[in-house]
Amino acid sequence: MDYRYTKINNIYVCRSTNHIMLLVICALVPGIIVECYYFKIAILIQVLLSVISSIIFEFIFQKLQKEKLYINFFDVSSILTGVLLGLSLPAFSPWWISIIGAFFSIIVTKKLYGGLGNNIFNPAMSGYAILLISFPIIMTNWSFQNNLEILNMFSIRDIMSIIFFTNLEDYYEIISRFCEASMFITQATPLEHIRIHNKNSIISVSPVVFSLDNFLIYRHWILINISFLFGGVFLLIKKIICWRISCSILLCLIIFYSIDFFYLKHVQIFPLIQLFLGSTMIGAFFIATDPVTTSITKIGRIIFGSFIGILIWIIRNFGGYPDAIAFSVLLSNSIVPLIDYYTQPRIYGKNKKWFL
Amino acid sequence: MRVGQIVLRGQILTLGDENIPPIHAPTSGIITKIVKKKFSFFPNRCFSIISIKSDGQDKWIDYSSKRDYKFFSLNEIIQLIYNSGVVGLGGSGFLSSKKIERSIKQVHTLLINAAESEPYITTDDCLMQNFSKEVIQGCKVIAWILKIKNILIAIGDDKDLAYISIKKEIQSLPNFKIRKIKNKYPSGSSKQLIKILFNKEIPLGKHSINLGIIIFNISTVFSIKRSILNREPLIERIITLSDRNLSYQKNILVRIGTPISHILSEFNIKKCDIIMGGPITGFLVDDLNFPILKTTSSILCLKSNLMKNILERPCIRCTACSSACPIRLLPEQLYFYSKSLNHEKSREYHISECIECGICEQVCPSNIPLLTYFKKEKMQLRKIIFQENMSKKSKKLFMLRQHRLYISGLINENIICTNSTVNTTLNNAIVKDEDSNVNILKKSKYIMKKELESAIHRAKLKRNIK
Ligand code: SF4
Ligand code: SF4
Repeated sequence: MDYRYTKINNIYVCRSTNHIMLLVICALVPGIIVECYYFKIAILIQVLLSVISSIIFEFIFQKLQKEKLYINFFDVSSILTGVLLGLSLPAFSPWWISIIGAFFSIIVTKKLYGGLGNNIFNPAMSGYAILLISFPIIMTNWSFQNNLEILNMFSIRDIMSIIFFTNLEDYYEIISRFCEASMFITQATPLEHIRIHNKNSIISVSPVVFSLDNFLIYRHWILINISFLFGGVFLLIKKIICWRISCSILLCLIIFYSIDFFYLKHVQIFPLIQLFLGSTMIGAFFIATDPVTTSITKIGRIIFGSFIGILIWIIRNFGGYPDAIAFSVLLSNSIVPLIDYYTQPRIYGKNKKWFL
Repeated sequence: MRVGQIVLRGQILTLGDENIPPIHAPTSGIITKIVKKKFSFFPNRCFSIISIKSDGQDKWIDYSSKRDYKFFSLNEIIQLIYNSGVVGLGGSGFLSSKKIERSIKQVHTLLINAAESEPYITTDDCLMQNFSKEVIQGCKVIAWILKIKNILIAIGDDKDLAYISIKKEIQSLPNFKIRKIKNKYPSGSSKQLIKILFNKEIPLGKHSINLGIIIFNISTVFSIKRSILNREPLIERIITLSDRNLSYQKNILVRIGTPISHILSEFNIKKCDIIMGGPITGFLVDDLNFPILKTTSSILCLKSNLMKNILERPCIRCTACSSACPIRLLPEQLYFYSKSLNHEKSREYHISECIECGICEQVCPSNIPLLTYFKKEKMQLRKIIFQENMSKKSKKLFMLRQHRLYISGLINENIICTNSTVNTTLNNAIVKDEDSNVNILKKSKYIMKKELESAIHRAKLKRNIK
């Protein structure tokens, strides 16, 4: 098709797709900076690794497909995927983890489904989920991050050597050594900690109240989440992401956590604080709102968001994985066509249906 | 009509049919050539171009009847409107006579659409400022034809001068009303207008006449007035000539059929790309000999090389288009289905309801020419429906033929059987039967011919579609 005859343009100046994606990446910057403050250069290395590898995979695949180069190449979408993937990986995972993740994100979930716009699953999250299933020990190892004192002991050289120059067995050894040193069990994001604590409290009846001191250990998590929240609000103001999805996710979480809080007395955390633990904010504002894989109707988006919220709550409370964003987003992605079909808006002049 | 014939201004050049009104000569002169031509920006359509060499005298054809319009009968007046070639000048190009004919005894309100259909165009504004009296007369004529009591004029809220001049005209007329509406595209489309003014929606697949409202564009009203009161066919219209920065903007009265190049040379415009129609739904004209059509309301001149090739990126389902669509369609789904030629699905998602306003295309961040896709898809759908109808028809014909053959076969048998008997009355009957037999054979031949024609036609259609 010849495009020249169609768009006259410039009457309504709209952002181009690239512009939108770039703004999303910009909105991620405060979160990245805060994470860098706590986790040192490690997080930056992860992000860079996954970004570069996703660009390279995109490039290779386009070469193989004999597509016109540079059309999708400068489409910032693959960069965005890389950034999101890098942020969701544990900061001290070895270098090949992010490359494998990028491979799954770009090639398997995006390109094999027909390129940008045709993928049904969120690329970053599917890459993450596959890594989580394949390398559970590495991927659930957040123990370094939970103890800031140990983190302060690392120099840049240490971080580099952990990420780049350890083979798998050494890696496990290092992990276990540090874990002993830090007196922490492995698999201890704050969410996990709370979960284990909850289970114990059910058994031991007398609940141990989380004190403020306990929270101070996790204050960096809360700060990181707040910085992502800022980015998300920025996007909402710019009207780049849809408020329906994020708000319904957060609202659902608040509602269900409040039920937890008021009726199941063993959970002693104020529901609002739960929102700032784990990767809730980045999930709600940056991952679930990826336009390609969400519903396109307004009501559909609310349903989609609430579905994610409910799934997060279920998986966190009853499932085996501490941070449920990836699986709940992917599961909700799979029901999007169904939602879309049943929530078609009432078109002009059609009789009213009962729910629209 | 042939080459070398002398025509006068206003003379009928071609007779119309059900959908096309007659076409009139814009000026007097000699027909120099008649050619058929295809334009690249109008695929699938062939234009016959009649060139007239003007003799410079611009002589009118003689209109004999000067009766007052109130003495005409209804049919006569509709015929008169048809003969003067009035179509919807707002862009639809629908026959006005047909519209009036359909709405007899069905409507109670006449809605005059004076809201500009697209940005940059100011023809309606100009018309109201300068010809407000004639416009009101036109409204009266239509109201008289249809026996309508209420007349409502809808006008954009930034057209103050036009508002004042119309207001002045209708001060003493109680059944005229004028209302300002917000000047926001596409409030000029009939569906949106009714939604804004009456807060009603035209039911799916129906027309505004079903609600008792008949809508006319204001320039159509003007030309109806001209055709009935002055007996002057539609040979000229006002168009807006503007450029993108509005550094010059003019409303000019041009004869229909004037080549664009002529207008440009008249106004000393050089070296630019021409967009015919509004800036949103218009199309780029690359052959400047293209004439002004009846539905052309504006010519937009852009500096050349401003229209660069814009890359079409994949749709990211950002829903900017579906939240902007005034009909609440889902353009991204339609785009997907029309791209993958899934006609069933696109019909299911109501592609036929699209009013081709082009908003979705404007807001799309991926620069997808959605409207082009939709137009193509609609054309394909129309072809498919047409084919279905054709196949139904030819099936019917075939069944008829079979039936007749069967009957004639019976008769033949009858002849054989009855020849042996010596019953005179029966023999007489046979003679009659033989006559009818011949007739039937003839008829079946005719039917066969028809069938063959339709088969050839279908084959052609198939080839076209491919
Ligand atoms: S505006 Fe364009 S990119 Fe966005 S959903 Fe519509 S067609 Fe797709
Ligand atoms: S052109 Fe686009 S915005 Fe306009 S009615 Fe059609 S689908 Fe809707």
